[in-house]
Amino acid sequence: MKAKTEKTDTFRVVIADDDPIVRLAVRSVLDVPGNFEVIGEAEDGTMAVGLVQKTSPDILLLDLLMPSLPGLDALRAITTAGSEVRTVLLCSAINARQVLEALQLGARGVVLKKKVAELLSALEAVIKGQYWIESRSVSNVVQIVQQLSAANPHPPHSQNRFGLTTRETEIISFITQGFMNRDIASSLSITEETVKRHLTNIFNKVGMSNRLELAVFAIEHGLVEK
Amino acid sequence: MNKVSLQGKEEEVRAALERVWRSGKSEAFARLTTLERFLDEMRSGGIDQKSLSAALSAAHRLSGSLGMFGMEEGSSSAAEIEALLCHQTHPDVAVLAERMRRLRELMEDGPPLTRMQRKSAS
Repeated sequence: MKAKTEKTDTFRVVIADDDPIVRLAVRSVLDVPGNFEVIGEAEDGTMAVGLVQKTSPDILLLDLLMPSLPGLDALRAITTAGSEVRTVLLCSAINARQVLEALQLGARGVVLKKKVAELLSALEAVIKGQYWIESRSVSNVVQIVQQLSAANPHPPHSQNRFGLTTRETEIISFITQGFMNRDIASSLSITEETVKRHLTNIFNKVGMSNRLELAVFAIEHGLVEK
Repeated sequence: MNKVSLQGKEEEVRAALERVWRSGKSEAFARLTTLERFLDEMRSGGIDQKSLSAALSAAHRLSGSLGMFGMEEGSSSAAEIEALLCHQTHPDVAVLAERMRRLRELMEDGPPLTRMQRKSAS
């Protein structure tokens, strides 16, 4: 993620929050290291979507509860539009299910407003390509999905198997545990190529396009035992 | 941010937030006044949807912003008020009054002083 401004190593940020005091506080935090440029502020979700489309920022700081369009709906619209912005949710409170949904929608981090002092660390992690969840930097987001889902009530084991074979369900189980293809292949005594083929079939059957989406989908639909 | 060190920035961040609180606290107290006015209206039996919406918005914003300035108890109090207004058809006036009294007390105390300010004050 390279800056689009003339200053090198400057990251362009949009702040979306309906509270002007919050926006001012966030601006002041971003001013501290001197390499963030706030290029726009949105006071509701619809405005946030428009601003991201218009300005293509590097980072979007997005509140969950906003007028006109809630944060997760705004995030969905932004992701659907194909934006490459890295979104960090900045909210008063969030539950595990909302975190899961946000990750599924492409969010890269979650910072609680009461922990806004961590914002710079969170952005540093996100800029490096990591995630920031529960006050720490995370490389393997599937593991986080697993941890968050473990904290949630277990959904009933799904009756709908989506046409998945036993072997495909086994592979999904490995995916939700954060295993890489190589490890899955080794555990099942099959080749990595075979794992990839199974994954392609799984993605087609459940309509997901990546491992994170698949992990969240599997957990939410009770496709795997936790 | 590849070359930015965050070491030693925490104090700067807290000091920056303290400055924002000082400049924005009149707005925060205006929100508290909105809540207190709503309470008065409840007592006189004259509340309407518009004033309820204004009170909910004020409580929600206080809940979000006070935590940013290190006033976590204030943030929790505002969240409790929001929940009382949001989930109860006839919230208990005495409970609301007590929460608002505590919220005012916490806001008047202000955010915890940063170490830098403590040093300069001593």
